[in-house]
Amino acid sequence: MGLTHTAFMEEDVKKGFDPRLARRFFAYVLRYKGLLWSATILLFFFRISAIAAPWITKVAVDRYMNHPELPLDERLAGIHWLVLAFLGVMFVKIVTNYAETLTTQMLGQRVMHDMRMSVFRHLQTLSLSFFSRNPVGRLMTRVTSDVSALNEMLTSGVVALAGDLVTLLAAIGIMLHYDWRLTLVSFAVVPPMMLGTRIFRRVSRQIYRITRAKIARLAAYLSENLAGMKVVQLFRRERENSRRFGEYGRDLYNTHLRATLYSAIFFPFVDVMRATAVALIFWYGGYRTHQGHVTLGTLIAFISLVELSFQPLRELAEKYNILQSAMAAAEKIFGILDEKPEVLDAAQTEALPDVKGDVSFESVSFAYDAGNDVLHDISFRAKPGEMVALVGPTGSGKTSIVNLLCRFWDVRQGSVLVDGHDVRKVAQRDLRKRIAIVLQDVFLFTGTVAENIAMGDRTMPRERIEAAARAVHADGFIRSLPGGYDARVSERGSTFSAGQRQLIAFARAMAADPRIIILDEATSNIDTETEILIQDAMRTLLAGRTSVVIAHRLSTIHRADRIVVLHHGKIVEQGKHADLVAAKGMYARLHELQFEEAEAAPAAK
Amino acid sequence: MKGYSLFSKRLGRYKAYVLGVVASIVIVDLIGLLPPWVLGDGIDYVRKGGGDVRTFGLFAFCFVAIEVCRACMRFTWRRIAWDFSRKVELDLRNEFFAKSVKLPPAFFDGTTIGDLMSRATSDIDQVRMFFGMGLLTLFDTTTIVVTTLPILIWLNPRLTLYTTLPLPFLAVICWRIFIETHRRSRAVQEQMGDVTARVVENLNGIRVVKAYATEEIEIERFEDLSNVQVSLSLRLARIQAVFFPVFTIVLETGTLLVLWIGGSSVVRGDLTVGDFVRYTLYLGWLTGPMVGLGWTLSLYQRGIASIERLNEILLRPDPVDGASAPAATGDIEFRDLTFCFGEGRPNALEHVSFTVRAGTKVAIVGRTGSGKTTLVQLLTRLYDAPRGSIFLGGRDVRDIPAAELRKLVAFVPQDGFLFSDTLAENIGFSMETVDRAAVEAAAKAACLEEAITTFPEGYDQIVGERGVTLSGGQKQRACLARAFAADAPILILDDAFSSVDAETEDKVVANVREQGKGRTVFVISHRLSSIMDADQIVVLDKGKVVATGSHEELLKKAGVYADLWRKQQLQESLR
Repeated sequence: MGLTHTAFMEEDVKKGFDPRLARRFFAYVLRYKGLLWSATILLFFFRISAIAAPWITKVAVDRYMNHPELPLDERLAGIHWLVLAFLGVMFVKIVTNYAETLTTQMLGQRVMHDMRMSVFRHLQTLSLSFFSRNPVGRLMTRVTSDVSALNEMLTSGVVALAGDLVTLLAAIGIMLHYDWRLTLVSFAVVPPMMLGTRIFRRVSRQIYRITRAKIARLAAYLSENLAGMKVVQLFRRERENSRRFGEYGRDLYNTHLRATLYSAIFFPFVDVMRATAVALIFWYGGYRTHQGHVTLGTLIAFISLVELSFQPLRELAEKYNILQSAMAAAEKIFGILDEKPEVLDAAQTEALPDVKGDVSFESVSFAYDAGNDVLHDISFRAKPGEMVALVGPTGSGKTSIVNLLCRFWDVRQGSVLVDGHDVRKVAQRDLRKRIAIVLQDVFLFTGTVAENIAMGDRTMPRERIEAAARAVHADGFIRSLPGGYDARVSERGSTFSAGQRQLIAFARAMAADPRIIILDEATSNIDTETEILIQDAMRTLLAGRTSVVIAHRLSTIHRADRIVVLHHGKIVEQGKHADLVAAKGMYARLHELQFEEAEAAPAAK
Repeated sequence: MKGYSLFSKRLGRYKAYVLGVVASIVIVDLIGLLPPWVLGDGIDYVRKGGGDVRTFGLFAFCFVAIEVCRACMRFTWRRIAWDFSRKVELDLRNEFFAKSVKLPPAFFDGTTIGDLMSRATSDIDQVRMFFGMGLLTLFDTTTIVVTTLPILIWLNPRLTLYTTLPLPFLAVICWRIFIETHRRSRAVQEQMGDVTARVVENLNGIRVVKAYATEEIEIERFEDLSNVQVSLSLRLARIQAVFFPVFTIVLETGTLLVLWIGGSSVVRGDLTVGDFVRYTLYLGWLTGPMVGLGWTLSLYQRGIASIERLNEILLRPDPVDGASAPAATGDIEFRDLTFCFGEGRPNALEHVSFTVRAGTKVAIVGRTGSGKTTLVQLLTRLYDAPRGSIFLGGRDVRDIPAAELRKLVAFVPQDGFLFSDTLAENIGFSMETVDRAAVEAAAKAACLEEAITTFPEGYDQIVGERGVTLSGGQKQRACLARAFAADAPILILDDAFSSVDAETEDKVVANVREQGKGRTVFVISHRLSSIMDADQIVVLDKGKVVATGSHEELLKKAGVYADLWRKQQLQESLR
């Protein structure tokens, strides 16, 4: 029963008002000055028109209803005029409210779109080292819920606050105009009400956090049980786990009841306060009316005006909460925007014209974390059109070599050269446009097959996509899919077999038409038929291109112009297959172990 | 009235709550009739020139006193109503859980955790909302209409006719608006899900994006989605923006009519100013519930959809279980077992026949997908094999109740699934109360003790997402300890050492040998060194038994097994 709910306590981040962050945020808002101004003006008129209704009633009562001296006709005509005025005010109120809600939402959505795009665009510029440090879930939150928190501050925080101020000032202004003594009396209940609100906010915020933690615990327990149902059933824990689930549920239920206790006290409390205000107005106002200082209409209007000004006062605390959460979100968002890419293009990049595909590593040492080298003094060369095979056990540094060639990371020492240009001196974009990479775990995006081959490039002509697919023998199976090239790829391409995914990746590389290809051969079981297609496709793909292949197949190894054998980040052997086998070193043993199956398998079938 | 019966069946269980809610609502609403009355009288008193401070005080006092009474009742009312809706939620959730633990793995294979979770959370929420706010508002509206309307008619029948005519329309319009709002906000949420998925996909595939330098294209694609998000949100905003104006039109048309007709009546002397104020207040009081009625209708509609989705799970029949009789261990026999996971799917196992004597160790060897795991899952009745194909101690396993059968089996699954709980709880998973000594002995046998001492909380360390993350090997050893602690006569190890490092594996294997004494042990393993001592080795290929025998016998046969063995020996030498 070890679960403590503190473990589920989500960190409730709050931050005071930070003018620097606010300025940065409002720079986004100010891009839409037109919308901002319209929203503000509309809001002003809406709030003023809301105040006008009680005032019209007051005039009706004082001038006409409660004025027996005037002739009946005049009184009735007055009432009719006021009805018309009321109609006009109502019209203004409806129109301005509708327009104001829309413009505020438009402003909010536009700003949110811009911020989302800023964060997303910036993320695309950051280096892989950044992504290896930051979990996807956290970065995703920046683009989604943190941006929404800022939108909330804009639409229901700042704008509503401005509106509330208009209402409050107008109401108080009218009240003061008629009778300042009565105004003071009307607002006598404000201090206790504000105090009550403050206390309520504090306890309810706390209970809200506890509730959320308990909901999270319950949901986690449920989803865990659903995921591990086999284990639950195998160990006959059905009853016990149901009991525990019931216990967590009961605990949450009790917390909910506690939370409703507070609101069950608070809301009636507010009602009593409001009633007290009305009673006070009536008591003192009635007396003032009798004295002749205040008219009956004013008395009635005061009652409505006090009601109108209570709402904003009550919501002040909530607005402050929204502001605090938004500030915390802004800090996180701008934190990402301030993040600098670690692999930077040089200030003066060298142009990379027609690449021939001469790749060389010169005494390269590299570490992901300082002081922990994973590559030591690596030197090898692939002349244009040559194929270099990287061989070695897991963790020997094959992937790191690929990372450096693509310049996902920068070397610690030595240099990586493409056609004699140090990769650090050319633009990353230019470099990568010349390189295509096919990873073992092929990453497919949601979208169509064609989109995946074109890597989302809508300008790529369909003929080129199909030609690429044909060249690597992917055309056949793609055409057999429902929809052919326009067949949908589900999330991560889970509906395709490993072999089909390989072929799509080959087509993708083919369509990119690079000079250099990096290929991490798939190790997974692929049926013989597809395997033959893949072997042939590979030949086509690599023909005339420089390639660096992390090899898992014998046929690949045999064809390689050079084999680089890696162990613990060092090159232990380098040379042609036959020579290395003859040397009877590490390669010879690796070869026997790793590639025998591939040799045996086709023979067996 | 299908929906009605869906709800009324549930409602029947909570008679006391419903009575409490109805009683308190009626009382609150009756008290609520008083304040406008008092206020109206007061205003007439002022108008007539009354100036006695004490009378004013009395009016004020009455007004506040009534409000305090009402507040107390409202407090009770909220308590009962909230309690009621949360109780409904709690009960529904527990029913849901109790049902899901009974459903077979085949059910879970055909659905996603996400779908089940959404039923257990948002659908239950919808039902709760209907039972809480929905019913409450329904009773409230009824009471208010029944009590206020006669007063309004009594005050001024003609005026009431005009002012209350639009109210039913308000209810209908609000209902439509709420439904439409819900629909559009669902669309926004779904789109938000797409946006999130896009971001996640981009971040997961950032390597490929960078490698092909397609950042700009990614940005474009994201921008398209973000733009759709903007337009859907604005579509929602347009319907939301309509709500207040509609409400205002109806409310204020009433006020307008009161001002016009009522005002004129006051001028003519047919109505007092006090009655005028009273009338305005009562009318205002009638408008709110109409909005509420519209809301209730929309809650009802959504609630029915949700309860139907829940019933798809709750009303699912329990799987057929064997006759209730205690089971004993014995020889295990597979008799011409052929099994497939569903119509039209290829056979996972074909004509599998072999017998395992009680207390012996059998190893099952074969490539991925050869049917090894299926075989042991059928033995434990996670899936049901055809009748007459698997026997334990001479009895068809289909005749033994699953719970009885599983008492005899300790299973170590492939994936090393642990719960986010303490290690002690995880290891003692099979025990009713966790016996610390037994847990520690099991952990020791599974070679987990050393790892445990490195955790800050030792055996009380929470593992998983919310605690310490275990390595794959540690997870597997914890699962092994869990099986040891179950102390059952049949032990099944489904590729249980795949992530355990070689050194530890040797020790674990030795301990398994020790623990397995006197037990029937099933071992599925890729590392042949851990199974060479088995009494019987069954080699599976594509669901068929291709060879059986002891290690020595199989080596002599020079088949798949001998081949695998030689390769693994070589691998050892490279370490």
